[in-house]
Amino acid sequence: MAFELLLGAWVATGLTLFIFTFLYQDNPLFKLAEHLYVGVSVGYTIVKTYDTVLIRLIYEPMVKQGDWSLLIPLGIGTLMLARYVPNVTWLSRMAFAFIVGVGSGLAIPRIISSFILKQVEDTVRPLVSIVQGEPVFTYNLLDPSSNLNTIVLLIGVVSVLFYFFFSIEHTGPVRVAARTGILFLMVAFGAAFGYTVMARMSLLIGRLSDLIEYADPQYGRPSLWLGLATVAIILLWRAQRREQPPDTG
Amino acid sequence: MVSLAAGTSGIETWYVYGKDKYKFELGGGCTGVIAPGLYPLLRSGQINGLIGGLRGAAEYEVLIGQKGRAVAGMDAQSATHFAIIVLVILCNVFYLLMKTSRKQGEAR
Repeated sequence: MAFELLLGAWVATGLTLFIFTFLYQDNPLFKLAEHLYVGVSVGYTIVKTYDTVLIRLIYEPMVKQGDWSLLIPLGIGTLMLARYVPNVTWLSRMAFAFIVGVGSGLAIPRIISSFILKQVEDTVRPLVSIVQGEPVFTYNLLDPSSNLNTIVLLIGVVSVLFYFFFSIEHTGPVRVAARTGILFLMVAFGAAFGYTVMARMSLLIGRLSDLIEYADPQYGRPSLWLGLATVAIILLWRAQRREQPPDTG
Repeated sequence: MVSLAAGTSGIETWYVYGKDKYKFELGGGCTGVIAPGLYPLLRSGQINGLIGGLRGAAEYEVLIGQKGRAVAGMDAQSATHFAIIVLVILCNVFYLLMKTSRKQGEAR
């Protein structure tokens, strides 16, 4: 087996087991894995940003293709660093204003179109379908496009909007609508939380699948040997802590 | 196109700055955490298809007839979900029983 695969299997198994030791207690092995994770992810981000932005978006177009107009956005971006120099902090405000203005101008119309107008269009659907010239009302709750689901969706949207409308007191019919909105919100948040649980479980399944795969002799059984080593290190660390009580001063 | 990116610049970004303006077909695969937020886009037809989490990946594998790691992982996931549901029901039953017994104790 290739050395890189072997090394990858042992490192992945070791770090997975070190992270799992947190289930017992915070310990040096967990701290090692945690600090490695933070350090490697920051390092990777820096290198990726250097390659993607500085080299491919600035250096190559300017120097190799002669597009010197990129000096303008480069200058605006550099002005943002003036924030760190107390005497010329005001220069960074121009760069921030430009970026916020352009960003808002690009984002706001698109987001209004995508998340508000299109969703309103989908919410206000016909309550009755026309099939071969005859009006038909479909009841299938499992079909998202059924007419019954259209009514449920409409009631849900209107009642949730009523809940968030705080300019009038929630009494009488408004209270009924707001309470209905709360029910819809509870169902939606419950479903979202259920999906979150599913996502976390699938991550655990992935990790455990890898641990099972890396228990194979072709990888040198890292799951077994590193598992034993982890337990031994934790027991030694615990014994050492008992012998040397923590400083109280 | 199909977006399989995780994180911020994912399906939503591709839709908002891509499909909504340039009108191409867009599908996506995302983690289970993000999937509920994207179902409104799927329902309204703003995206053509969505693979949400391990379950979505298993459904896709069954659809194309190539069962793999996602289908293999569904057994464990279904068992875990079943265990969680049983525990939730048990805890709610215990809570209601304790509440009832406390009320009976106060009534005496």
